[in-house]
Amino acid sequence: MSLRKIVPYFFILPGFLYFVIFMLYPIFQTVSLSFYNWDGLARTKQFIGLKNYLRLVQDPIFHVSLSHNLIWVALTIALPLLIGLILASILAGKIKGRNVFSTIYFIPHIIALVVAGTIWSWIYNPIFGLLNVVLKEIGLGHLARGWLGDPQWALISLNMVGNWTYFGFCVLIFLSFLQSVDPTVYEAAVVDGANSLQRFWHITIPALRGTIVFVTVYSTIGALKFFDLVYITTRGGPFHKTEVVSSYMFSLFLRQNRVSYAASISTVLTGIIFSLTVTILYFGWEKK
Amino acid sequence: MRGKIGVLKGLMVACLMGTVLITFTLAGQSQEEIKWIKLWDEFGYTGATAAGPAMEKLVDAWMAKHPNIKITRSVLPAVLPMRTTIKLALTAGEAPDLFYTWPAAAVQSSFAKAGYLYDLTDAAKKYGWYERLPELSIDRNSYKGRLYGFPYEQEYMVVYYNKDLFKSLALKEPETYQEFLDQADRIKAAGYIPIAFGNKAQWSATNTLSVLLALTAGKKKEEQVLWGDARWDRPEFVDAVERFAYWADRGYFPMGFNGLGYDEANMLFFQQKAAMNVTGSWLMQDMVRETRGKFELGVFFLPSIYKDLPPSTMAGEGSEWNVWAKTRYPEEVIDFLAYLVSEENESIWITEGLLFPMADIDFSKYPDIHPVVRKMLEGGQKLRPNAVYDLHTTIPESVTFTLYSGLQAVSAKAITPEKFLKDMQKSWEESKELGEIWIP
Repeated sequence: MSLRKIVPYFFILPGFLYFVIFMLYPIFQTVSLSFYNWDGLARTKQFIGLKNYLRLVQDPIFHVSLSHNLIWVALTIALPLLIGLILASILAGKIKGRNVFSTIYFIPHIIALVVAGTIWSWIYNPIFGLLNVVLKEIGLGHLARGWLGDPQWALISLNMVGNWTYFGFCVLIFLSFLQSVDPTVYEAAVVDGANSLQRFWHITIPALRGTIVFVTVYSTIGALKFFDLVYITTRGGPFHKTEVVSSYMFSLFLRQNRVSYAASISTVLTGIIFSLTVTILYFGWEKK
Repeated sequence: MRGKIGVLKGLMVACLMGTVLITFTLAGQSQEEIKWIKLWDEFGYTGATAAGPAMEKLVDAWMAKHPNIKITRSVLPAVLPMRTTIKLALTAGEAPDLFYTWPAAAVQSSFAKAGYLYDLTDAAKKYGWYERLPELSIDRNSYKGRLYGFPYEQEYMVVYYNKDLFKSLALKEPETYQEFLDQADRIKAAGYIPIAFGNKAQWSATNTLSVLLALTAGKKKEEQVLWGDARWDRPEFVDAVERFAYWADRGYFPMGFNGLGYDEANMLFFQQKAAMNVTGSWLMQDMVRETRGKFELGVFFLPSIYKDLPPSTMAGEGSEWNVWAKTRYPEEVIDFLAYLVSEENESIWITEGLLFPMADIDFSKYPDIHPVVRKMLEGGQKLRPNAVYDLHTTIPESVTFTLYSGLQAVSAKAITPEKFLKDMQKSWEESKELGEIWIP
């Protein structure tokens, strides 16, 4: 084999080694751990086969957590993705200050979720938080809530924070792809009498199909594995109303000494994310 | 030109070799002359257990006496961060040599069982620690008869209150439980929050429940559940949970209390929006500092509910000192620990940190102690023989998880007290099967 053919492998080797050592190996270790009973402290582990997975099937907290993640997926697709698409379509037109607007929309995305959670915890504070104070000032005090402490509103309130940090990213992605669409297509549509809604539905959406699939996959993965926002704001409470799979795993692993069970949940979550991703890609990509 | 480059190269090599030589020499010297002890504690300057000034003074004083030993100190805020971080550090083999953490009982036993903690039994005999610590505290910090922790704060659940606000509402310290409830109603009617309470971190409700258990079940019945075969859903426990749910339902807590943080809730008390604060003596440093110049601080113990039960409260030992099993300098670390907890240094902890070690304090030695602090400690010491345990520092972590979320659910009327306690019983039985229950 000539040196020319071997040299490229040397360049990709460090990245590959990093992937194997810091990603592949821990994944295999986690999967392996899920077949044992281990509290994270003992020097030995006890092999128990599939018992952790059988327990998972009957675990109501896992079911609730997963349902919250799926709700989060749906809301993330319904709101920031849709809002991002609409705003990008508007900004792609002849709007003055387009760059200023897209920058402003993107700013929340660069804030760390931990910081965003802290800020919004204060805004949502039931006593002196900005939201309730403003509601009271404008005569809507009856709408003031415990927000993050209210079992009916906690998850939605948290999701709004997540959406706030994410929609700007969607705007930017869609806008960058929209700007590559041939403007003469829109002009021809206008000549043919298409209104803005028709142009959006018949030109913009098909043109952005690949981007929409990508953002949907990205959003789904993010919505299924996020953790920091929940941990900083509610710790999964009140009574699991904002519990998500990763916060439940964290509690099992670090607080309850159920390390192997947490590993089984992690394995199942990985499987769910992988399956959903493949499904979205399969149905989303345009078949040639 | 070539000659100049050659000289330059030679100089660079010489500098490099010299640097390497000096570095190794200095490192060698450092390793021989300086011993580094890593210390983690919870003694900040605000919040729970804010005894930072005392700790800092003692660390500096000890280092001054031992110039060849340096202590690198990290302060982890009390409550949750230390609890989770220390476990990671121990299992990763990167633990501090000496650390002050919680809880004892089930959790500490699991560390000792796994061999992460240094056996302090010999040190306890050498320094007379067994004579100074209450028997139950020794039990809670032992595993298979060997001591692994030195508990260092006596803690009690109390009711802090705003004396000025009470006066303005013509209220006084309640002598009966019914008076307490009536006064809470009157405080609420006057537009104030009766009890500052924030349960976002979920542990606050555990302490409130513990103090109610003291008054409905008492120590013996609680022990029957914790070390015997009595069930969690026994009537006295249901009674306590019902009373806690009553407080929530009656509106004694701030709106959205399950989403309010502990510190945020305390702020409501300091800002005089709340009239009372049912919490522990671990907050006395903040209480004294934050109320100074704002309002007169008062304290009382929650009055008895039943005449056949003695007055009681929840009592605990705060956190405890542990030594890492793999410390490189066990003698030096234990010497330092003995210094920290010595009787001669108790006065520094008390006067500069408002932290009270696990012993009956002779307050005649401390005439300048804040009257509230004195009342709280004197009262607590009297109640201690009949005091109940702090649940979440006694039971296994998996049961604590059920306790935390269950109390949030009960206070929000999402589940009944009976259902909550049945869940606790189920969680307890699972934990028992796994051998996690701690019994003295």
